[in-house]
Amino acid sequence: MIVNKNEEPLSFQDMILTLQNFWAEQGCVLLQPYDAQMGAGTFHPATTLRSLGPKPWSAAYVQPSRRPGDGRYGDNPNRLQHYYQFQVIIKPSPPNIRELYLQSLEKIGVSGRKHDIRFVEDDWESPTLGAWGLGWEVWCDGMEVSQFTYFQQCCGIDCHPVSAEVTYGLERLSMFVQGVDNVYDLKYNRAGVKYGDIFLQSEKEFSRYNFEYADTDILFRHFEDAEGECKALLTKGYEDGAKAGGEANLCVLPAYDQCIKASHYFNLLDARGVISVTERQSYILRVRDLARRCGEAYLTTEAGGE
Amino acid sequence: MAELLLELFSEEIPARMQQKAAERLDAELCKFLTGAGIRFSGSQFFRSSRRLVAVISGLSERSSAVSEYRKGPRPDAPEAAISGFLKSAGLPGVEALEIKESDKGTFYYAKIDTPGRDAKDVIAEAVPEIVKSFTWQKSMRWGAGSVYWVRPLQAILCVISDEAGKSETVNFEVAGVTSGRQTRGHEFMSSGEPFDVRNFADYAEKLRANAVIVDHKERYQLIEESLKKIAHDTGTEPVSDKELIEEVTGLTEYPVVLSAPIPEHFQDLPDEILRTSMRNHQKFFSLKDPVSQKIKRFVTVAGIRSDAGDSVILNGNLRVLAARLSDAKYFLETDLKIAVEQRLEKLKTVTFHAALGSQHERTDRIVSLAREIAQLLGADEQKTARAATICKTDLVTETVGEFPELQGVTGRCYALLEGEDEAVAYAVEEHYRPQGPKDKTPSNYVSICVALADKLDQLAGFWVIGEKPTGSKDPFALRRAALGVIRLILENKLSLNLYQLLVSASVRAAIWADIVANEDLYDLSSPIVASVIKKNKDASMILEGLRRTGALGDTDYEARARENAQDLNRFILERLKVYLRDRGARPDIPEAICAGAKQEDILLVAEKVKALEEFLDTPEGESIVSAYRRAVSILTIEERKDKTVYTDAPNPDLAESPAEENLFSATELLSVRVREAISYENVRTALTVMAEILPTVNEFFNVVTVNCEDHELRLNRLLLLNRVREFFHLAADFSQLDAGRE
Repeated sequence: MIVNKNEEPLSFQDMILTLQNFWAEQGCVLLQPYDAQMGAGTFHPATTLRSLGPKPWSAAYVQPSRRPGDGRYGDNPNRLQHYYQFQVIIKPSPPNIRELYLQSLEKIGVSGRKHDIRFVEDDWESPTLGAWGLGWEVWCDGMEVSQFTYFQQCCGIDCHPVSAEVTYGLERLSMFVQGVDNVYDLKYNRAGVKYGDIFLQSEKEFSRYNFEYADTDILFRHFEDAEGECKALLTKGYEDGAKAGGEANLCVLPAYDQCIKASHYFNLLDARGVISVTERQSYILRVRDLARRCGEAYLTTEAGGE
Repeated sequence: MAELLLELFSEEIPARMQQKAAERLDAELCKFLTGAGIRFSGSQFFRSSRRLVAVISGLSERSSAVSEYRKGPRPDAPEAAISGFLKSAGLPGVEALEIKESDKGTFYYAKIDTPGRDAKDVIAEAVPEIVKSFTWQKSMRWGAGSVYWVRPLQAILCVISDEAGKSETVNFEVAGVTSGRQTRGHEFMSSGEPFDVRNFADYAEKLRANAVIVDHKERYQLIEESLKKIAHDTGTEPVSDKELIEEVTGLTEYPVVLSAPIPEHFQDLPDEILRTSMRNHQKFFSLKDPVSQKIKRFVTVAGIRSDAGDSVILNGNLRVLAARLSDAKYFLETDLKIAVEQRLEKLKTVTFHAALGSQHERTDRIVSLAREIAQLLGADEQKTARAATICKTDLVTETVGEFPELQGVTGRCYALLEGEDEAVAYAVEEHYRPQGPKDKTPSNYVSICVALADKLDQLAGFWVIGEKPTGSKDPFALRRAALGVIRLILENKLSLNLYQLLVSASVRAAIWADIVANEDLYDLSSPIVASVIKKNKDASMILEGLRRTGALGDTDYEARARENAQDLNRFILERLKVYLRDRGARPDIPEAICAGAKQEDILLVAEKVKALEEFLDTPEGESIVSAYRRAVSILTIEERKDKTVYTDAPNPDLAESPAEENLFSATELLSVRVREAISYENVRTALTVMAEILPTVNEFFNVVTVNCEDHELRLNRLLLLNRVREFFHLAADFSQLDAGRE
């Protein structure tokens, strides 16, 4: 456990380690980031799929999150097209989850006696995942640092029991803890490496890719392919499951991978502005349909079942 | 006399839901107690982000026992009836019944004793029931439970106390929470340890000692006064915002009001952008300079007094503000580099609706319709056209992209910065108005023309493509648009032929819908088509122009538009009825006015409604209704018998008596005067003239038998009565008036 000995604010990586240790002590399994591009930690199957069905589940992980449209070529001190979320998901939501969250803030140096921590209504919804929940955004001296949600529905399926999801925006939180105005100035570690040393070039290059270079015809094709593959895998999974004499779908997680990919391609196309307002809705519905199919299939499996 | 204190402690309750929830909790509790026969003298409620509190005072600790006799069957009634009665009364046998005699005969009576109940037991039953059936605007489940509450319910404090100092916990369990006598103070500013509570006074005092002001009214006042004080101390004045005070009152249990100046280099941002950005994203209040009226400072309401000093919290807030305002400034600068004409061009890429084309095309329609309206109203046509041309251009600005709620306002700010005429700039902002029943209606003529054009085009467009509102579904807010049209016309007293405007809007919409649907046939981007549309403000001229270019086929757009407009006119009249009813009109009167005749001028309709309503309250009004009923009831009875409707002209030569002759001539003469009065929009005069027919009608019925033997005469008299009916209908369809009202 990283101890904050000399009152110096935690570096970015120490903050992550502190959060990981804290949630590990609460019984969460520490997962590593999912190896696919996604818009938010919620897309990780450890949240999307594990929040379904009756089995208890506690996990914490960092997830790199891609928001192609938020790229600013490294010019904006707050906006990134690639950033990190720290995600905690616990099912069923424990009665003291809110208090645990506050303790975790205390651990990284954000004390409620010193700072103005407030829970402001913010009902979360992911149209592409067919998911929604009630909760808050958590404000610290006026800055939103986390999202706190009680999952009511995911993949269009009611959550029973309900999971609590806590998402920390790591860069923002770290900027707050370190008192830094520019994300690229964040101390990444205690040895003098800055956030910008690692990510500035990547922000510039990916902004170019997202807004200018990406071949949209290829992206449209990838979207179609991922969508087709997702459905095909689920069909095959049901067929072979039935052949094996059961009802379980044998290929849910690979199918869900395709759903994640489709969602990311959609985000890229959206950032390029090549999807019109009306088409936009239909793309969202197509991804949501994939998520719904995956969720329903997941319920037939060992992990999703009774 | 006792007091009940109930506190439902939960995770943060959204600010906007607290007041209604506390009121409801109070009301439900009172209702339950009253229903159970428990008397009390008063009730109060309190609320904060974590608690809903109800306090019932002057509570009787027990409901009184009630004995009553219930009447049963006669002793000689069939066995089944008697055993049924015993069962319903919960008695073992006839020996438990009493026999009583009355003047109606001899009957069994069951004595039913309802024992008094302890208030405590009633409350223990009431609270779980209220919690389980409570309605929140939005509610949720948590953990493995199935009870719905706004956010997880964590603790319940429920005690009954009396003046003697006795205090008892009311025990129950709901949603996995067991009631008790403890609560907690401020999450951060107290030890956080739960403490015992005896009664409300004890509760409020201990909470205060633990940094919670439980009375929301006190918190509201505290914030309001701090705002004033800060403004006074810094030589500024607050931008009034009761809604925001209300909201932050609900966000904190211990409000600490802090203020700082807005950094100099952000102060040149347009005020609305500054204010909206601070208010909507940060929940900051704005303080402005009393002379220049520019916003100089912000005020934030924190939920704690920081151990490390106010500056820690203020600095954090300032950092967030600086980041936001840098963005806002960047957007503004980027936007202003692009000329308004370029933004207009960019509207081509913004879809309004797939079947109705882009915002650019919609702008073209609004421009020509607004000019048409400007001509009708005598408004400045040049300014109207300019305002209509640029009214949607802020949709493609970065600022509106970031703050969608600033659409319109941004357009106005930019128009002023770009040197547009003031009336034009304000019309850009106001053309969205009124947005709902409470929003302000524009009164400037340029604004009115563009606002009407915007809404009429919206209505006509969605009508043309068959997207009418159904039941509770109104995805394109067309009811609101119709209400906007109604309010613009009525509040500005505009005399307009709405139907003609709807035809005009429908022609344009129908052409566009066709062009969009057959893009390959009619190339809108072709310079010829575009110039025809731009040059002609009148829809029929556009049509003709397009026909000449060969761009349009043979579709009879006028016919389609007329049909569309008639249907829309009916829709708007229906909304008008709702509007008038909401404003307290007798519901039958708009029905009477709108029935029958085509109503194309809604100002006239509203005036007729008002005049008729007033007139009906006079003695003349009452006699008109009865004269109408007398004349028309005979007619409708006979029509029903004869299975026909009499509409032909009667023959005056067949009149037998002076009474009949007089009715002929009176109907004719008065009709002319009534029509004349109505055409001058003087409904009151019309009704007064109409009343002049009363003696003649009465005389007719006194002297003449309508249903006489002579077939030809009877028919002629019925036709005459139809004339009378038509005469009355010049003002209103009196048959729609609610007969039950008299």
